[in-house]
Amino acid sequence: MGDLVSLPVIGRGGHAFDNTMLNLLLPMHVQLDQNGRIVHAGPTFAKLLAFEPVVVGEHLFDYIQFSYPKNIVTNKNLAAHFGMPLTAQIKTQSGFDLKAVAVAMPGNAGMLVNFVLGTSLKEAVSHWHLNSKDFSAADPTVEMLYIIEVQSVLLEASRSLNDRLNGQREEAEEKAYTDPLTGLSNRRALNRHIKRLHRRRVSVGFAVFLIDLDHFKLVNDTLGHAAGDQVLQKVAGILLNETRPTDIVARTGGDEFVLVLEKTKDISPLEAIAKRIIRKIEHPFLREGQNCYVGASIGIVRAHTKDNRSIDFHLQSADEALYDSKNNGRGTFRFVG
Amino acid sequence: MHGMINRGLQSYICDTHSVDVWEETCERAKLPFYDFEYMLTYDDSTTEDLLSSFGALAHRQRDEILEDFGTYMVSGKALNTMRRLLKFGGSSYVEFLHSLNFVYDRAKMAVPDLDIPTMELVENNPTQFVLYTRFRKRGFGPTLLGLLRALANDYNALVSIAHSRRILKHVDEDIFTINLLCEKRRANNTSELVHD
Repeated sequence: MGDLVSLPVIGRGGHAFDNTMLNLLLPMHVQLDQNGRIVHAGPTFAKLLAFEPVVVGEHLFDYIQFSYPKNIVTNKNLAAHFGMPLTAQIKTQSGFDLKAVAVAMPGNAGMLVNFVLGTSLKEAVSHWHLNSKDFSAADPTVEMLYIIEVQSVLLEASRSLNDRLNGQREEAEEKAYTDPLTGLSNRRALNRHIKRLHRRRVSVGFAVFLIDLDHFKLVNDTLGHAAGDQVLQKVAGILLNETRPTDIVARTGGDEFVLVLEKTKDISPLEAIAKRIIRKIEHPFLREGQNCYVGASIGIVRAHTKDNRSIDFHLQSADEALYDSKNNGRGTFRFVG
Repeated sequence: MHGMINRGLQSYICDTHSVDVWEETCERAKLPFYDFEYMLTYDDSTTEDLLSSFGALAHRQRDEILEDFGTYMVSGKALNTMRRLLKFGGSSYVEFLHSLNFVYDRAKMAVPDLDIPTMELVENNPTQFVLYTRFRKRGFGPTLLGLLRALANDYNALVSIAHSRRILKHVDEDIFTINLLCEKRRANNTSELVHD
């Protein structure tokens, strides 16, 4: 660094700091004369400004723009901010934030501005190929760099781990609330649905259908379990077709299904739905050249969320009505009460 | 061993051999998974099982594998962060050697549960250095040997490194005697420290 003027900085008590010492202590400092011309630049600061060869004698403000406070555009402005926290940018290399502090040199000999790399440390290190020797030996920048580097690896790893765990959780939840054979909801999902229904601010009326297949055991026994499974899947399709997306269709046992239909004030639409379900289920379906016959009996309970009863309570009532239907020759439905 | 180290081994086997070899290694080691998580800590026996399964599969000795793994940490593509941090230690191999004194504390600061050896460098004279490392886990010295050699190569320094191991009561002490034969200082020695 061939300086034009190599003035030793006189500290208190008359001890002189020469530039060699300053370069070691503050490798990112710059000394300016009273007109704002660069008298000396620390080695790292010189690197940042690409001072090759030395640009001693040039104006600092040709290279550096202070971004905070905004009004520092002359040497005089800078002098008014001695000791205050400043931020600056390099004009030729945008995107690197520097922090800075300026002090007056003793004896009216201009000023010294010391810079450090701010939040863009990692980018700056790779951009200028800096290493620990470019920083003061008593500077925690290297430690910071360790934390920054490791943190970015771990953050990426934790993001991907979270994504995977989330996917697995969703899958597990899906499994936990679904009957694998029919894809309908299971009893857990039914409980959850009723709880959610009760949690709503506006109370709502609903109907619970308890559906039990007739002659299902016969199909299983004579045509085999595969046929039985097909019957259950067919019934699931019928029930889904007869309900709205907001209703819930659950398979709660071997050949037992539960529907919960919301906003059902009148009895007649419920009757119509029950009739259609029974008619469609009774319709024989052909499997490997053989007709499968099953039927359905239904017990229906009408309830209201303001009663605050559990699904088990409703199912028990519905079960009594279902029992009635079975005793009345099957293939029919009964309301509770 | 920390997930980062196991994950490093995973990258090493995948990159220097193949994913098939890695998966076969996991099978033989009876691991219930193929991917190590950076954030988890695994039983030490898991790493040992991996090393012996891979050794049997690739017909290689444990020491040789570990030394190669140390080389891979510096020269492999997957562990760029590691290399960047090590090379940040200085612009010459000697500067790098001196920076090893701080690696343990810095690594512990960044990843508190990471298991790495403590390191102490003694300068006998300007061309001879002795690095003493102590590690609670046994038999990992060759990893550091590979790493030291690879970095010498990276810094364009010609060195000879002698390695010896002392088995102490609670730790392994590995001693690396490093003789600097020649170090070519390139004008832009750190130019490889590019971020990718």
